[in-house]
Amino acid sequence: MSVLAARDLSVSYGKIRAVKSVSFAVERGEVVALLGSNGAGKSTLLRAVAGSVAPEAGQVLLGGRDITGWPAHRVARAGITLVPEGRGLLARMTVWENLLMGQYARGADDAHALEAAMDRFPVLRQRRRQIASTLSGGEQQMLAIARALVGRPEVLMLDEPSLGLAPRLVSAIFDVVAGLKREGVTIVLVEQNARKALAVADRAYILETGRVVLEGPAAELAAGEAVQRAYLGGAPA
Amino acid sequence: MLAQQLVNGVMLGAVYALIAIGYTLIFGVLGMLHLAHGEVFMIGAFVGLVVATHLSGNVMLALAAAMLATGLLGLLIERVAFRPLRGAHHLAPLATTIGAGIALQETARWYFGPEQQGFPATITLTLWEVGPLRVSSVQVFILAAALALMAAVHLFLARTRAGRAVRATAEDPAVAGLLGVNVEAVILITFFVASTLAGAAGVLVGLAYNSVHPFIGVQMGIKGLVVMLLGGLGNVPGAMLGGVVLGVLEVLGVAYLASSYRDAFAFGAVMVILLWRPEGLLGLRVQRRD
Ligand SMILES: Nc1ncnc2c1ncn2[C@@H]1O[C@H](COP(=O)(O)OP(=O)(O)OP(=O)(O)O)[C@@H](O)[C@H]1O
Ligand SMILES: [Mg+2]
Repeated sequence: MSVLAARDLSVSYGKIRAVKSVSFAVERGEVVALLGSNGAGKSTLLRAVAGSVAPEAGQVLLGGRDITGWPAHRVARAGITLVPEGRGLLARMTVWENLLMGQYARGADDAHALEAAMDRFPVLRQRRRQIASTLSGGEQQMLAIARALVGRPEVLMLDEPSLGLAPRLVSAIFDVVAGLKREGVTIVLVEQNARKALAVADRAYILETGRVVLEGPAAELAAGEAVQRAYLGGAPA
Repeated sequence: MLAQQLVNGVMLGAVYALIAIGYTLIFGVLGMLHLAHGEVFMIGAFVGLVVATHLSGNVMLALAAAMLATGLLGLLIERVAFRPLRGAHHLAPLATTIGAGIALQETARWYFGPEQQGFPATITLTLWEVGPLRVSSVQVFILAAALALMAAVHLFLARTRAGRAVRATAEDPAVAGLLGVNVEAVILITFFVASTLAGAAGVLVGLAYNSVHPFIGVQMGIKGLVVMLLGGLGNVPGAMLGGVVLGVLEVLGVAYLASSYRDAFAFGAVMVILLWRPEGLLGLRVQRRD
């Protein structure tokens, strides 16, 4: 059974229909990419899964359990963690406090997970007493991912983790995602950088104006002509 | 003589700080003003008076009873004056909380009468001479209680899971929700804590002035607001500092001008400070929230 699935999910903001009857599924240990141009509805889809916005129709299933319409805190406690667009750090808190908040949903501190996160991102150990807003953009994204990981989520959803970062840091973020995949973390990855996302993902869904227009194994999509033209800027190599 | 006045000012300021912390906690979490907070303070004073007069002469018991009662009152006010307005304009609770405040004043006036009520002397009055200063046991108790409560709030916010959840919600409720924080529960915790502090302040003021009446909350509510602005909106250490600053300004006004200019001088000085630092003493730039 899929660890996470959406069935015919629709979301509106007032009159704007941002997500129209979208279905997708994520298997345990998979990296699934959600791609599409600006305004396609990717963030809205993640928000609906996370409970930040209420879907107007459809279902969200976590391990087969219907969690549609649950408020965000219940979804988080059930094991879905969203790193939102713009990172969602608590800018006035220290790095360490942000990490502790990453474990809030678990109900108890997990020192081992905190250590592991700081081993993964040694800069966070150095900066643990620093106020989050004083970190560089790359460090902030590392902290956002670390904060999600210390909660040991069933499903990690990353909304444009490479947004606004220098190319070197974009590669570093994708290396982190690849590393997590090797460790078996289940990931839903929303990205503008389709080429890199398809390289790390197992499968992908392509959204256009709120609908899924293409889906399949990432390698096939990367090689396909339609995706090449629309998202990868050129004909197949 | 000035040193003596400063002692009084710090004591008074610590009480203002307790009220201002409540305002600032609620403003921090909801971005809304609670204009019945002064009346919560007043109810705390009366609960303390009733307990001290009729049940027990133990001041700690009066304090605890007042805090519990006002904590529950805070939850009730949240329920009737704030929750129905979730998502409404951030000025909407001004109307509902002013209404709640009037209801509390009138209830107190109906039950206790409009005149001053003597607050029983629950602390044996001892005077100590410390160099040129005369310090009474009542003053020491008030200052110690206020500082202990402020320390407790500080530790709660800085060190506990629930306290961090309150701060996370104050910073960004949507992000707090994504992290597993039940924002509605945090709002209730915040109202409870804020209101217990106001209730404690009510008992301490009763002890300081030996009297309470149904309208003491009006002026105290304004002072709490002024202190919150002085310290910086939503800033707890700022409220603590602002309280002491206002208390000291008041006694300086009395010392150097006349006691009838006390508030005029203190509020005037606060205006000057705010012209110099509009964000308040410890405030960050205020971000507009919608
Ligand atoms: N809070 C909101 N209120 C109203 N409309 C919104 C809101 N958020 C998004 N929308 C609209 O919903 C549609 C989908 O937006 P969404 O943010 O989900 O797209 P996206 O695929 O994440 O885009 P991007 O790549 O730019 O992040 C857009 O038309 C957007 O303008
Ligand atoms: Mg987006």
